[in-house]
This record gives sequence, C-alpha cells and structure tokens, in this order.
Amino acid sequence: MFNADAIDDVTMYKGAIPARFGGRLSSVVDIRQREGNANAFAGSANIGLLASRALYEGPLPGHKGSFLVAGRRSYADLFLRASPNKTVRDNIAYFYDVNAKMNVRLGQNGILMISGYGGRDNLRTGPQASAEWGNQSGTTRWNQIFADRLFSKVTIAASDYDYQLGFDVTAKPVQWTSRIRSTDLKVDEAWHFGERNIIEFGAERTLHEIRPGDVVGANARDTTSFNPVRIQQRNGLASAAYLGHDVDLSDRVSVRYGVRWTQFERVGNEMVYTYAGGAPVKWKGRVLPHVPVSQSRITHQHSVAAGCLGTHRSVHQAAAKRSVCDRTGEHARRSAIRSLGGGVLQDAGEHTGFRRWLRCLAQPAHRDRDCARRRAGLRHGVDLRKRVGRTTGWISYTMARAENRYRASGLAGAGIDNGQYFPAPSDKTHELSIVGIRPLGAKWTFGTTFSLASGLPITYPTKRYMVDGLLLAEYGARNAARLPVYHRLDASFTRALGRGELQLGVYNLYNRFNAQSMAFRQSKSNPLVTEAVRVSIFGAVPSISYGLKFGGAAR
Amino acid sequence: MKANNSPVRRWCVMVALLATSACEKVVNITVPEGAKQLVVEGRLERVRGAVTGQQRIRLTTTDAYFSNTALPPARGASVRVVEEGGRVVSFGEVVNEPGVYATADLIAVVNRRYTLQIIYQNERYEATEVLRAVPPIDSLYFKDRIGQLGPQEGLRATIDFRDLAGTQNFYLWDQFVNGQRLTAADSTFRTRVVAPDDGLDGRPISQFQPYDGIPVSKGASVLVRQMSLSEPVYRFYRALSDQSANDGSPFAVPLASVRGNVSNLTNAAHRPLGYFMATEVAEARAVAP
Repeated sequence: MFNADAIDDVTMYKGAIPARFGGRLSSVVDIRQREGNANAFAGSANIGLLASRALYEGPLPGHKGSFLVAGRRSYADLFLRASPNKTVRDNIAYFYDVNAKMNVRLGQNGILMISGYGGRDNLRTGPQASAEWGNQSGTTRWNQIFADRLFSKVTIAASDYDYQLGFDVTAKPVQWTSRIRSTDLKVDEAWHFGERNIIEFGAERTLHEIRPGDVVGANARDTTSFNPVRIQQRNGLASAAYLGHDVDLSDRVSVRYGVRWTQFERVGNEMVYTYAGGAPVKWKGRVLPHVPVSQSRITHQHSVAAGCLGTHRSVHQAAAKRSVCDRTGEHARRSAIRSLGGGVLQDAGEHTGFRRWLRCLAQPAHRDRDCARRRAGLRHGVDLRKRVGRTTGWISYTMARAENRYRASGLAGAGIDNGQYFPAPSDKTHELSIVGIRPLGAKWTFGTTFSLASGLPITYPTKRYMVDGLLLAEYGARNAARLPVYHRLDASFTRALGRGELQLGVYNLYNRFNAQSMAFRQSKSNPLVTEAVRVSIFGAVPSISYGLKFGGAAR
Repeated sequence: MKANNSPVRRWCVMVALLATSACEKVVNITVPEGAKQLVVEGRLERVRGAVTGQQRIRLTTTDAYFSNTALPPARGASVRVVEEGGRVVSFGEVVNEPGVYATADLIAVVNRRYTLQIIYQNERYEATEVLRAVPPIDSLYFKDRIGQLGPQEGLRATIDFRDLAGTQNFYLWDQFVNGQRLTAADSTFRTRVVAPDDGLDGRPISQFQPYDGIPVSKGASVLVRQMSLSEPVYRFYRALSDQSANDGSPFAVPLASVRGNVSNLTNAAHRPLGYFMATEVAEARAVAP
C-alpha cells in the first residue's frame, strides 16, 4: 500500500485510541512520512522485474531544513505489450505514486512542513472494461514549541480521491466518475508538565465534498443514445474538539483517558431526502467519552497492559438515494466499541523474547436494528527472537479469531446465516512464521522465510438445483469450512554488487499450489456433473532485483 | 517488508489474471447434504401478437451437491394461479413429464396481477407478480462481434428496439438456435442475459447483441425472445448469474445462496428456491446468412 522508502514510522492503535483521533471504530494506523536527510544529499533506487522505485533526499540551502522525493512505478503492462495476442497487447495495467516532503526550520523551536502525495492505478482491458483510481493530498503544518512545554501543531490539509469505471450499458460504453474531496483545518496542542503528564487538546473542522457518481456516455459527442445520470453532490461539515490526559502514575502504571466532542452537518443547496419515519438526515453534536486504559510495568523484562476501553463513534450519512436503512428514522447513528484487554510483554534486550496476549471484544451497537452489525475478535500472539551463532531469526505465532454478524430484524431467516456469527473471510486462526538470515562469506547473505497458516474460511455447497438450465449450488453455513492449510517457503540470496545490492530469490520454493479459493461449477465435459475446483494463483516464482544507494553521509 | 511487497504482489495477481488465468485443479471434497428444498420455475407469458391459454410451470427439488444425476422432479404438488379479480386456474401435472404442471386455460393479460399458489408435501408456497409489458423487437439481423466476448470471428444475432419510456424496465433475453435454447442444462453458457434500462429510458437501443459471445453458424434459424422483469426477479437473475459464473477469482462475488421471490407460508425457514415471473414476450425470427 505505502511506499516503505518514504515512511518513517507506523503506529497502530488497536485499542486505547488517543482522543485526538476521531471517527474510527476499531483501530487507527498513524503513518508518518520520513523527513529528508538534513546533512547530505543521498538517494536510493531499486529496480525489479515488475516495478521500480527511487528516492532522493538532501538538505535545503543554508541548512534551513531538508527535502525528500520518492516515487514508484510498475511496468507490468510492458510485458503485456510483448504478447502475440492483440487483445492482451492493448491492455493497460500500471500504478505509480510520488511522495514529497520539505521541512523548513523557523527559528529555534519552529518547523514548517510541506508534504504532498499523488498516486494512480490504472487497469484497462478495452473501452468497455476499465478501472482507474487515484489519490492526491497536500499538507502544510506549522510545528512550534512554546516554553519547552507546549507543543503546538497547526495543520491545513486537502485530499482528493477519485475513481473512474468504464463499462457497457446494453452495448453503449459509458464512463462512471466519482470523487471525494476533503479540506481540513486542525490545531493540536500537547502540554507536557512534569515528567509524567501530558494534556492534549485541540480542534478540527473538515469540509467533505462528495460526488457519488456522474455517469455519461463514453463518446461525448454522442448525446442521443444515453441519458447522463448525475447523482447530486453532497457536502458535509464535520467539527470536533478533544481533551485527553496521559499520565504515568508511577514507573509501573500509566493511564490514558479523554473526551471528544463531534458534530456533523449537511451544507449546500442540494435536496435532502427524508425517510419513512419523516426524519431527514440530521446532524448531532455529541460528547464521546474515552474511558481509561492503563499499563503497568512489573519488572524491566515484564509488563502488563490491562484496562477497558469504551469509545463511541457517530456514523453520519450524507444521504443516499436508496439507503439500506431507510425503514427506520434514525440516520445519524452511534456506534460503540467496548473492549477488555490484557497482555504480558516480555522484553529481554537484544535477544528478545516477546509474548503478548490480548483479548478484545469490539461491539458496534447500532440502535438501528435493521442494520445491526457486530464484530468480535480475539488475539493471542507469541514472538520469539533468537540468535544462534551467525544465524539470526525469529519465530512468530499468532492465534486470532475474527467473526462477523449481519442481522436483519423483522424478517425470518434474514441477514447472513440467520443473523448468527460466522468467521470473517480474512480469518486465519493460526499463523506461524519462521525467519532465518545467515551471512555466507563476506559478500553473500542467505535469507529464508517459512509461513504456515490455517486455510481461509470458505462456504461449501450442501445441495444443487437447476433453474432455467443453469445448475446452481445451494450453500450451507457461511464460511463454515476451511481451505487446505497454507504453507510456503521463500528463499533469497543477496550480494553486495557495485554500489548496491543484487537480490536473487524464489517465492514459494517447493512450488506448492496453495488454495486461494475454491470454486464449484459444472464440469466442462459433462454439464450434469458438478465439481470442486481449487484455484491457486502462484506456484514457484523466481525474482531478481537490484537496489543501489548513492551519496549520503551521517545524519 | 510487508509494505514493500504488497503492491508488487497485487500487480502480480492482476498480471497473472490478465496474461493467463489462475491455476485450477479439480479436487475431491466431501460436503454435508442439507434438507431437500422445492425449486420453482414459474413463468406466465403473453406473447405479443398471439393469443394462447397455454402456460407451464416446472417444479423440482434440490439434490446432494455431487449427485451427478438429473434433478428430481417435485411430483404430486397442487399448483394454481389466482388471477386479479379472483378467478382460479388449476395446473395439472403433465403425463410423461413429471414435475411439469400445465394449463390451457390462462390467457395472461398485461398489467394484471397473478398469484402462484403451490401446496407440496403439506407446505404452502406463494408468490405474486404483475404481468409486465415489453417493447417489440424492431429488427433482428446479423453483424460482426461488437463486444469482446467469445471468438472474434463469426456473426452475432443483433437486435434493435426502443425502451418503454416513463417506467423502470429490466430486460431478459433468450436466444434459440435451430430450436435449441442457448441456456440449457448441457450448454457451457452459464449466465442469464439481463439488463436494466438505466440511462436509456425511452431511448432507441440499436445494434445490441444479447449473446455477443456466441457466434451463429451460417444458415441457422435464430429466435430471440425479449422479456420484462420486475425488480425482485431482475435481482434474482443477477444473483443467479453472479453465482453460476463464479470462477473463484479474487474479484468474484462471495459464494452465497440465491434467493428468489417465492415464499413458504407454512414454514418460512424452509425456503423455496427459484422464481415466479409474469411477462409479455416479444419474439423475432431470422435465418443467419
């Protein structure tokens, strides 16, 4: 998803989400872009068979700051162009993205940061079958430290996401375009007092402009054969303010709690649809409590994280023409997440043994009964790192369970599996990976990874029937069966070469055809015979890539 | 590592799908067998330009998934259609065609409401539909492939018609070649051709090839039938096509049951499968050059 070259730090909050983040229910991923090298010009490039990436960074004149530019481009479509088949040759398939960031120092305690991102994916197999999507965003942020205690951030950000689909409507090629633009002004303050107290507060205002879809004939001159469909634009203004407190009660116990107020309103002159209950989509100002979590350290090697979390989120609907929930009056809904967690972390210095146990129950409780959805999860993990002679490596094991439930009240047998919990499609109950890295002589390094995981859940048919000459499966309980166990061994040799590194590798060394899914269909030789077909995507795949670094000095 | 790998892997998946198709292997699995369910194929027709009281409804049941035999007929059911206004027409089981129930006494009329009532193994099933109007096929002729399905060579049956203005329409097309329907138990064609009139309300629709993936051989006599669906039946056919064309690719819809518009009044949880529809039918015939 992200260009790892341009990322400095990723923090994932699976619970205990700080009050400064709003509108998220189960987790927050906080990604920080890397700053450029402020002392010397440096770069790196990585050339692969399917994609390449490059990065360049350096100081601004007069040591006033730094900049960084990073980009990626895939060129799988170049191989398509080499195909003897004209239909394949005309396909387009690529993505690219560019990250840029500049930091300018303002006096002793201030920094002005300007960053931008642009990326696009394009996939086209002809005018009647295409999909492309892209993101652009820009951020300007002023960071200032006052009196060594108050850390202030003022941010202006804008983002623009769009997608375009090309398809056929009864032999007429049409183009569907959709776009979401957001403009955000945000002030975040963090006041540090003493060694152990941080009070965070701030406010935010975001304008969302949503264009759900403009559908027009692909041939702009041809206005006679297709009635353009334009779904009206919708605008929303979201505001929020928060106050949070992070305190270390002792060396061993820390607590975090806070409160967040949010408001949402529709703006603009567009029509507002009303629903059966007579209630239009409306905004609600709410105060959402963030309940304490704490962490305590038993010894230097062990710590216990425990606590309960209760956060709420408001779900606002910027109105749809047809809503899945349009039989009830409540459209600005509130979800709640409650979780109970506990864990033991074991930290043993360089040769780290790391164990974690966490149980959490996420339960969005919609008051809207027809759209009730709940989710529960359990996660246990063990991570062991070890060094044996010159070999380093680690073993990690995770046990997790993700389940979904979709109910529909008032209808017998409605919802998925009569409203019962079923394993989420991505659920892998057990996951084990073993990684080993060993230097071979002065220049070569050998690396290998073994992965073993439970097969993904799948729904099996329990019977078959025929309608209009088509043989169909009637399925049993959703995701009640499992695909065969997944395992795979990857290996690579890396050698320093010139100013860079050459990597030769094999993905899926023993060529196991892991099941990606299972399909059920009529046999091609005898349509009255039904068969189960295992679908795998990759056998063994060799790879070669060369990465180089240039310039640079100590940071 | 993960952030680094994932876009490359994603594109590998796409390239693998574009250039070849994914690796497939037929495997043996055992699946539990569920309770039998009634399957309804109920269609009341009014053919444009013809008046006939002949109507047929087929009832079958489900069978074990890997049974590999013809589907068992649902015999001995009581089948009737109640017409708007209260007239009741009984359908009798056809001799030598088990599971097929027919009448010669129901001349269906556009915009009239029909209720199908079935009693099978002491359970009552019911569905209601209003017979929908369909525009005529203005012409049926043969042209080269316009879309991208099937082989490039070979003529395709092509039609012109004009959408009925002012109403939301959903169309279903059937094509017969030398008397044989293209969608049949022993064909490899696995979808029903349906389309909504979104963006086309009242427009002339020209050079449409309903079965654009299937070339028509020289001299073949072709019949195209155009029908109109209610929204629930359209959704049923869309789901049916999504499921039967499912190839297990990463972009396929999840495997799931297809739900129709017939309900079980005795025991709602013992859901019937299939559909009940009522439509006017526009027919066009031509011989391929």
